[in-house]
Amino acid sequence: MRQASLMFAGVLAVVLLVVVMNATFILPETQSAIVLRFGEPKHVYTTAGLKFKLPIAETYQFIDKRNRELDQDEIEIIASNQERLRVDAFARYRIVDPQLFYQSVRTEANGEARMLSLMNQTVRRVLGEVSVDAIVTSERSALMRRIRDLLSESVRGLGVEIVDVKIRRADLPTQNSQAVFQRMITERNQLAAQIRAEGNEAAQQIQAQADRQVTEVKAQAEEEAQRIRGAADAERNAVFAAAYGKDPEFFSFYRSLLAYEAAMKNGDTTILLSPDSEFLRYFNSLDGRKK
Amino acid sequence: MPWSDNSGKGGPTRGPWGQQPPRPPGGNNNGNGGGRSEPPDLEELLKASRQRLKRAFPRGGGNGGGGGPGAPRLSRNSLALAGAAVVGLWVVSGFYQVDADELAVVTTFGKYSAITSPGLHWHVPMPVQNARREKVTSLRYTNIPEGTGRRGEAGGLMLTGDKNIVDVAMQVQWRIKTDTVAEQGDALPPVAQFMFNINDAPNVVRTVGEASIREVVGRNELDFVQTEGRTEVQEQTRALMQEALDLYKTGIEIAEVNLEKADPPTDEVNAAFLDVIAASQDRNTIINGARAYANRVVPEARGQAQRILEGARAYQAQVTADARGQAARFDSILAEYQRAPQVTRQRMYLETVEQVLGPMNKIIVEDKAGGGVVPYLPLNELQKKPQQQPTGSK
Repeated sequence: MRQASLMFAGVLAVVLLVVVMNATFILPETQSAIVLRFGEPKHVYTTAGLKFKLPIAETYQFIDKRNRELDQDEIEIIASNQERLRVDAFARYRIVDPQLFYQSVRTEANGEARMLSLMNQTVRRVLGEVSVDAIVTSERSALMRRIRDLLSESVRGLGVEIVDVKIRRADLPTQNSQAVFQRMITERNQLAAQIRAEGNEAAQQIQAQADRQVTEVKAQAEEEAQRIRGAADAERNAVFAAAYGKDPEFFSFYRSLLAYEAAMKNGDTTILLSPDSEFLRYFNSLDGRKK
Repeated sequence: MPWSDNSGKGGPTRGPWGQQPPRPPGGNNNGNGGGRSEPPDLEELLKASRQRLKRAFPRGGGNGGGGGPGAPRLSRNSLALAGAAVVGLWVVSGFYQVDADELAVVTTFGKYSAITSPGLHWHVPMPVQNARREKVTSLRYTNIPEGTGRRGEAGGLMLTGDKNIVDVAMQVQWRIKTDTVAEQGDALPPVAQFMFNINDAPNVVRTVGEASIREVVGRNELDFVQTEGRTEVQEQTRALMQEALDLYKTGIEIAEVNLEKADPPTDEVNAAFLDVIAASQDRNTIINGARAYANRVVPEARGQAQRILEGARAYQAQVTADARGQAARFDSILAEYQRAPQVTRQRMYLETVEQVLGPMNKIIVEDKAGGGVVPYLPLNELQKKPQQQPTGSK
């Protein structure tokens, strides 16, 4: 008797447990849940916790509610100025309306495929309207916002919020890169040549300045030297004039004697003398009188 | 003794489940079967209530062995004990330790309920509550691009604002924000955000980093990125990344962005860049050469100028001294002359002429005969003919 009742209690407990377990489920913070009654969505739970459903008749489906990445493969776009650009963009999205999402695409994989094709179109459309310069530099963030807004609109029917769109890479195709490399090289070569030429210029300038200084210094010295020499000559003349002026007649006599002495010093001169000359005055005449 | 009525092999000093050599499959297996099948940490629990168990289990074992009149009562007791043990274990399994560099997030039925800081904690055990620990203080590193960092790998190439291409590598240092309370407007504190809002933590840092560095480099010019702008590029990239990661509610904090290189994209371009540096060196070299020339030549010229000046001064000294000397000599002679003009004059004349004519060849020709003789004189002895005239004129 007692054993039978005990067994009954045990069976009851097990059945209860199974029922309770089938009627509840734990919804984690990372997920939303849709409760489906024979496949038809009945409830949507978006906050975590212990959730209830009808046992057996209802099942539940988790839908990720995290911020997820939608990674687009690299695509080549043609910008408005006909230049090509390889663009690798990604979006971050969140499923904010799980029921809508479930009804429209069922699974996350499907949803991502749909969003990717929409994103591809949007990226091409937005970036095709502007130049490469704008994409790479000035308007990048504005363009990313624009893609995000347009994409948000087009995925509205999926119950998805586009949190952000970013251009991960925007690079030139390989052949264009080569052209850029060449341009960079030639630019650098130009710069190097300019620097070297500037060096030569500066060097020439320094040398020329030095040469000018040399000439200048020497010329100034010459000028000064001439002045000194002139002053010396002038002083010499003054000294002579002062001295010789005292008796000009004697001076010319005296100076003539000095000149004869200096001029005929060598002694290889032959001279024809007349007996009438002053020197031979007494040579023919005892009293020195002229014949 | 309670266990002596088993097969009798157990010695009096041994408990029924004491470690011992192989025992027969029968014996008191039933008795300690419940205990043995538990995980190892049961051991502690068992020690705590050893005495009670000692008393209880052998009876259970006896029951299995041979049955007896008291079987149902004893069975209920052991069931209760097993239940208590299970409950105890369940309760104990709620203890968890949070290390010094960690924070733990406690969830109740999957829903966030609290953050616990380092130390020993207890939560209502599974499946009601759960605690997940996460390292928060230690930095994590993400290298962008991945790969070896060799020059020209496509991952690091990006366009600059002046449409050049630069090869950039950077390291992002990041961690989880350590605040334990949610910021205003957020439902969850950062660690919980990190756990619950994203499923790709290193990847989100990488992709956001790649997008941000390209955006920043694209706004700036090549030279700026390569030289004085490095710090600014790092800071702007960090700020952009942080902005995005906050927008995504990731709970991630970018501690630092290190620009490890911002190099020319290929070896050829690099050679051209290096040549620019070499050109600067060349410029300096050639300018230094010119300076050296100037430094040599100008002082030399000053020296020469000095020489010229000194030469002139020497001339001045010589000439004036000579003049004064001659003047003095003349003065002396004049003074002497003025004392006896006629005699002195005569003497000076004769002395001079004597000195001058002394070594000369002299030919004395009569005036009257002169006209006739002269043509017959041997000319080779008369080289200095023109000089004859002045001497004798009265």
